Formats: sequence, structure tokens, C-alpha cells
Amino acid sequence: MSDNSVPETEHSRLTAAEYVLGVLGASERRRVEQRIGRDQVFAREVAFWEKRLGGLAEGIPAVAPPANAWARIEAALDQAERPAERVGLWQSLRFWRGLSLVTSALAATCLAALIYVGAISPPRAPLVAQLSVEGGKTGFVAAVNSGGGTLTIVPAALLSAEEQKAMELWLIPPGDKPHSLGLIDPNRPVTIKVPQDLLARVNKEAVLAVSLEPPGGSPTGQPTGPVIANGKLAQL
Amino acid sequence: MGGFTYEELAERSGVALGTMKSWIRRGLAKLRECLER
Repeated sequence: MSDNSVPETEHSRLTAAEYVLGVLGASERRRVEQRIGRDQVFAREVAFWEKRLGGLAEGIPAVAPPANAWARIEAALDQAERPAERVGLWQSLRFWRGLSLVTSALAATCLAALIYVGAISPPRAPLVAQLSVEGGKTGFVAAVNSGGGTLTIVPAALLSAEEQKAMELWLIPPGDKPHSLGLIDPNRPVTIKVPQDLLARVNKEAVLAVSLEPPGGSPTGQPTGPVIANGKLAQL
Repeated sequence: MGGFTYEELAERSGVALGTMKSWIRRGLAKLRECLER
């Protein structure tokens, strides 16, 4: 259709005229309609022809469409619907309906699970230990906050702390070597963050022990001084 | 054009589609010249 002997502006003008005249096929009409949207000069040309040729249409007497026109339009629509179903997933009403159904069901399931879990899980009994010192007296009381992964150890008796010694707390799981939980203070409560890898072994099978160590704690990672207090963890 | 497209016009007149197009385009070009004057 493009005629190279015709300059581009001339060609555009004729295309606009053809469009207004209505001689273009459906696909070309669509192309022209898109161009009107983005090409202002071209849109003005279309307006020019509409003004000039519009008078022609007025002179034409109205014609009733053939009786079968509507049936043909419907048939054409049926055919047009099939490609419409192939539009992107994100434009598909069916997709969004389905997605909303699935997500609603998921939300309901989550809610139900939440209620169920809340109803069956008993309030977790706190894990505590009384650490006895020589003579059977309670030297420390320890309580585990398993939710927060912390352990608080409180001195329960006045202990004669040796000046140059530190007190180190150990976790001794059954059949295992002691694991350091850090230094504690014989004069005030200390809250210790339990290392992540030890958290599972802080249970009612384990034993807590306090040893005397050089300032700064055991240099070897294992107790080096005498154990001055120990006690088994227990569920209250 | 009576509501006909190039294709329909060419078929009805028994001429090639290209011929029908150039006839009408030539006519429109002339018309454009007249209208501009």
C-alpha cells in the first residue's frame, strides 16, 4: 500500500482520508485508530477529513440493517471471545476469581489452625533448677524462659565469693560434656541468652552446675575449678 | 463509498485491489488539493 513516489505527509493525509471514507479493512482501521492516539498531526488530518467528508454521510438516507445482521454480529462476537480467553493470566477474571477463592480458603484454614493450636497447646510449664551448694543448701535458683531462649539465675544464699575467682555456669546434658553458659554473679540475678545450638538441650534431663574459674572464665572451654553448686532442671 | 472497503470495491468493479486503491487515493489527493484552495 505504501507508495514510495508519494511523500510521507501526503501518504499520511491519504491514509487519514481513506480511514474517514471507510474504505480500509478492519486491521488497517485498527492501526489507524492507534496512530490517531499517538500522532497529533495525523489526528488533525483525520479531523480535517471528517469535517469535509462528514457532509457526505448526511446526504445518504438511513438504511435499515438487514434482518440477519444481529445474528452475524453475535456469531462474530463468539469467535472474538475465544482469543479473549487467551489474554494474559493477570487480565483473566477467572484467574482472579480462582485466586481469591484459594486465598480465602487458605486464610480460613490458617485461622482454624491458629484456634486449634491455641486450644490444644497447654501453657508451657517453666523449667527451673535449684542449684545446691555444699551442705545441701540452695545456692542459686535458675529459671528458663524457653520462648525467649534465655535463662535467669538468681543467687539464693550468701556465697563467700573468693576475690580472684569467677563463677561460670555450665549446662550438662545427659551423657555429654559440660557446655558453658557464661559467667554469673553471686550477688545479683543474671539473665543469660542461651546459644541457639544449646537451646534444645536445655530440658528437664539436663543439669546446671557452677564452677570457680579464673577471672574471665575457663580458659579451656571446660570447667577447670571446683564445682560449687549443681542441680537438675525440672518442669514446674 | 457506500460503506465498502477497498477489497469489496475491487471485487465489485472487477479490478485488482491495487488498481482500486490507486484510483481512490488519486481522487482523494485531488480532492485534498481542491479543499485546500
